[in-house]
Amino acid sequence: MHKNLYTKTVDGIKAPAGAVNRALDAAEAREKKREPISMRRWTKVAIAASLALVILAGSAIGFDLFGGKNGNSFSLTVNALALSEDEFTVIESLDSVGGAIINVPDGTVVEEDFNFYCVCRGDNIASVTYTVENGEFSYNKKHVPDGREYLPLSDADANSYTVYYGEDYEALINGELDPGVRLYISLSDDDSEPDEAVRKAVSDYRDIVYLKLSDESGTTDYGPEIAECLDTMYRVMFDRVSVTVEITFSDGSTQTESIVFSSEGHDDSGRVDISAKLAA
Amino acid sequence: MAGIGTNEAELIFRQYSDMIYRIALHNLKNGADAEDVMQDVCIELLTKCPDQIDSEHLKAWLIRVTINKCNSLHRLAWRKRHEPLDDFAHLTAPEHREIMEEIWQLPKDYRNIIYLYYYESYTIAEISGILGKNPNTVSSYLQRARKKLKDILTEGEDYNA
Repeated sequence: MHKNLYTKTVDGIKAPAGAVNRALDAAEAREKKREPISMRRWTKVAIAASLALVILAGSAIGFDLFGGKNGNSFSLTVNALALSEDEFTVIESLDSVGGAIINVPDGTVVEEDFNFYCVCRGDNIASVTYTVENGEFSYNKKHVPDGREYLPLSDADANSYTVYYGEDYEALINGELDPGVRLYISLSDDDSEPDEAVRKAVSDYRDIVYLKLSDESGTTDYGPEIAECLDTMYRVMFDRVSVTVEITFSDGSTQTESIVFSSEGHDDSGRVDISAKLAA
Repeated sequence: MAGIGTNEAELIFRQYSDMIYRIALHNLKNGADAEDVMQDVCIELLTKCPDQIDSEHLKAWLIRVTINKCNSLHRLAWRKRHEPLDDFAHLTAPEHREIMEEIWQLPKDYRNIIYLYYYESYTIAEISGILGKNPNTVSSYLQRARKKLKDILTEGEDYNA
């Protein structure tokens, strides 16, 4: 055997007939699932959230929704779910074991990302700036019906982006456009990470979860040790992340709110729920 | 980080589908799992591929994503067991089956380097960039892979050929 025989062998390996179309169909179906919810459903959610605010008048969910200063008001949703200060709301479920990516060039880096479709609604809003602490935003370009590329966000970089309210944003929050924002978080166990608990969580994840479950013999099963390790890793991952939302109103005044995150326990398939709430 | 359009993603995916499948098969030794990885890579292409990326960087990005997805799938080992090699119908010629059986005996990192070096004709420096590994590590893995192949194989020429 020599190189030519190897290349000839690999030449003969081709994606099975139909596999490409099946992959494209699956990806398209997944994308559709991620599209913003319909106006009708969004309206229901918004109405429900508003009603909840009426009942809980004085609660901190929708600041000044009923006659705040100069009629300024706002309320926040993430992935179409209203957030409160009182309890965490599940905004995404992750396939934690299969989803987190690990890279080991010089140290160990664990990465995770999830949909972060944050919408701020209210009166007299001029713009909203979202800034993430200990994470990064990623953006997907979308196409409006006339074919041109359109990203309805401004000043978008890894840590912050701004949306200016106007026709474009009205179209966005009415479900015609999807900003496609995802929140990306990574942890490392190298010297750049000052927190020892984080370094230990990452190295434990590598040693106990990644290496054991990567064992090609397939003999390691999900169990309490792996579940505990995953819980710890995700807890330290989400405990440190927050998103600051700064709302600028038409009169120039601003208000700020923070969103914090939490991870819930794993089921026996390795899934984990990511939750969010408004910081008190 | 921005995404590319759906039509462009489909064209790219069709162009590189064989490469994605081959890398997945080198890593996973299983056709069904390799197809699963193809789907995952397709989704990544639609949602995360940076736009305005040139073709060489795009290819490297796809290789990296494919290997990462294979690693993730490995971690689902308790749910996904390997199918017997006999179920794999691509390799009809006995000598081709033998070759892949030898390759599959190598550690996973070695297999990727063998594929990238001998089939895709990447240099060690390029492989180092794609895999995020130190060039010395890549070189060392390549040497060890050659030695193991030599040890495994009972006939034929040196793999340096």
